[in-house]
Amino acid sequence: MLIETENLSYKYPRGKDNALNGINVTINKGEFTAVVGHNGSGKSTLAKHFNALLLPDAGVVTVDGVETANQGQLFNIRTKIGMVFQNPDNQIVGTVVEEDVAFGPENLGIAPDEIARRVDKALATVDMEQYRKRAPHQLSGGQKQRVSIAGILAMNPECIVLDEATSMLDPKGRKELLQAMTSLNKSGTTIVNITHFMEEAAIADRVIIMKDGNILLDGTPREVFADREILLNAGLDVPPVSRFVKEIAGLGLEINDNVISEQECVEAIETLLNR
Amino acid sequence: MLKDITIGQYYPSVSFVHNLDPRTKLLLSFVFIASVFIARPYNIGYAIIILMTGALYIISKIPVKMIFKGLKPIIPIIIFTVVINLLFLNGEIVEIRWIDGETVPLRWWIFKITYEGINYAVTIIIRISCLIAGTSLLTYTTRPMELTDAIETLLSPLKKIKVPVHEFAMMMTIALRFIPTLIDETDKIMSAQKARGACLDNGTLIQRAKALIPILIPLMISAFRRADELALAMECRCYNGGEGRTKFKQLRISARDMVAASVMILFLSLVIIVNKFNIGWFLV
Amino acid sequence: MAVIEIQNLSYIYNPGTPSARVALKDFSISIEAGKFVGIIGHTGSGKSTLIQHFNGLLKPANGKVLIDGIDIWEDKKTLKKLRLEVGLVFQYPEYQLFEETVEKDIAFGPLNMGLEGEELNISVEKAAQFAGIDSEMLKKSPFELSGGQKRRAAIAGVLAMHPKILVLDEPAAGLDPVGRRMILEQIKNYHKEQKNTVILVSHSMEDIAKYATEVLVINKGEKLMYAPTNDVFRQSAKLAEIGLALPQITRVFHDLIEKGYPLRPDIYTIADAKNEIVRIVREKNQI
Repeated sequence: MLIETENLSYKYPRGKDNALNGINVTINKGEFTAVVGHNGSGKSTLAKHFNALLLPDAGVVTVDGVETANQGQLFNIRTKIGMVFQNPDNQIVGTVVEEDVAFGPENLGIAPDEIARRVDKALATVDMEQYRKRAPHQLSGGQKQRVSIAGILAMNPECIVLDEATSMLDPKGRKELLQAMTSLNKSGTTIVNITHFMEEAAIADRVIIMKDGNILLDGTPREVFADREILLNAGLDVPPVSRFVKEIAGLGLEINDNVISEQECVEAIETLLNR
Repeated sequence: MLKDITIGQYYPSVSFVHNLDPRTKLLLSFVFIASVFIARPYNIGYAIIILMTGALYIISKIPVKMIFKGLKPIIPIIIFTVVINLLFLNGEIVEIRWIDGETVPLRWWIFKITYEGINYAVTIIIRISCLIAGTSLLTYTTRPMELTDAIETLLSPLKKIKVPVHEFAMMMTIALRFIPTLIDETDKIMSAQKARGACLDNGTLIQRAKALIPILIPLMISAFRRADELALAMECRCYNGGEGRTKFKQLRISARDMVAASVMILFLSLVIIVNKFNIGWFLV
Repeated sequence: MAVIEIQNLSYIYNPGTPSARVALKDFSISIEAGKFVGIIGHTGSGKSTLIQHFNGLLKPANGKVLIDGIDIWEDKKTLKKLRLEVGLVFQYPEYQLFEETVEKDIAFGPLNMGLEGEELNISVEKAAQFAGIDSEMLKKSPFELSGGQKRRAAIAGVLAMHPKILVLDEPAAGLDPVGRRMILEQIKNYHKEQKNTVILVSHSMEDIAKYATEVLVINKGEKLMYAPTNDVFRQSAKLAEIGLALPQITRVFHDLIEKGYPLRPDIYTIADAKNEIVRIVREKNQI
């Protein structure tokens, strides 16, 4: 268990209602979790509690057993839980890609030759080596976000939280970023992807649906997509393929009505047509 | 159109000067500036300086036309100072001897041309041109980031007396990082307001100043938003000021820097000697 | 009659420098009045460059731009007038808000056009109504609004100028599903009621499929297709070839066709897909 929240409540100083109402959630090591909700559902507020950017008004958040309210452990927590934000332009500090990737390790006081090793490795992991000498403004949105991921990887994190990191990208950039998330997860990094795209939820191991500061659903994509009513109520919808097979099933045709990907949809229709 | 502005004017190339440590280049630039001020126009001092400037450009593999590019913005200032000195400086008035033997002093109404004026004008032209050419060479051959690094390292002893050297360097870095982004953004906002019928390029001065409001306000708001988000991102990456920080790119003094320093010190000594003994005065 | 006509348009960024880049080459298109045109293409395909030619923000290196049959670059006076016929909503238009109140901000465009008094008020009110901005929001500072509301306020600022042609560059980018649907539905209603030409640039094939009557596909600065939406999606193999992200349901159908199932290739909505499956199941049962 990597991150655990216990009855976490939070209210913004100028907010009317609680942004989070007693959230109990556990993120395990190695998991790929998507947190989905519409704007104002509390998903970003929750994410900001994972690395002590916000501290709970009530309740407790622990990272690897350490309370985030423990100021002495701040660097330790932020090294473990890295964060990528929405706007690709506003999180790159360096004027050259490799210098930006080195920014985190520099702050941690790591020896220069070790930094060099980490920068090389991080850039290779997100497939950005050939751009290491480029200025950030010469990169596409997807590339910038991958540089941001590299900047976090260079700090050797346990977990990367992506806070709507795909929302400003074009389809190509989004695909690149999702591929990067999947491959990072395969090599053992815990991923928490905060998003409002259901298509992104489908590739996660686990989906948490949030609404008005509460957790509405928490389960595998298959479990979560099964309940379209709740999703619609939360201002969300299942991916088109899931909707499609449900409508076919609604006509009385015999089809597997719980598909979450294109692949499964193709298989379901094939079975239907070959019956 | 805003994209035409080049920042820092770095001229990418591979040369002896490009490869020098930025600290060496920065310090030697001061040596060069001192030499320019020490040299006098009445002997071969200026010739040495002009030759040195030319030689530095050749070694740096920077086209000589870049000297003029650097000078362009200050040409009006040079012309203005030269004209004022040439026409108003007191001293011995220049006389022109006509063919018939009559001498005419160059003086008309309140204007006069004196030997001192001419000397002074020449001094100004050479001095300013060499100064600009020499310091431009620093920015042509050094990336802005290297320069920031060099300033930070050179000034780091000041940290002991609580001068925020690291913070200053960090501000420079962030400014350099965000200038292209903000220029881009200005272009976008201008287009958007033009599409809403905003008139940006005609009207009285007051009207034009007013027309800038729809551009400046969104630009400011966006800059603040960016600053906010950047601060958050930096916090997430454990930024906590300069204390305990290491540097990825280490500046290193090599033999090359020693050679460059020796050459520049030789040059400075030469200028001082020429000045002291007034070598070559007979040429003027 | 064509409301916008582009003839052999070429445009180059930074001409004469090492970074010169051809954004559009020999581009021609004629858009009929009253259509809802979707424009799709990759980032950097020339979409944004093209729409900035519609209202004369960019001047063609070669070729002509005609609005209502008049060359907009013929003389300076017509340019100013014609620019206002084309309302251009840029990406993330909320970044252009600057006035003290939403109402004043929406009035900025119409004021620049010389509207005043009652006429001005009516334009602002009507535009606000189309964009779903209520009277309480009108009195607020634009910076107090939520992301989606800001976006709609900015769009209202363009609608208030009564453009004959409304051009929107990714109006739903970055919004959540509710915000997306709201903005696109409002644009659809505006099109239905005003009968004006609407041009929608989007990366989302699903949105284009749902709202556009015609689709223009741009690739590498050239026109790949311009046809009614059905016809364009019938050739979706071509779209996939240039790497555009087809709607999920279309991709499923393509996979099935590839596996030998006799399905229609031009399926891009769930309703059509459902009918197609019903048809084929019935056919099979008859045999």
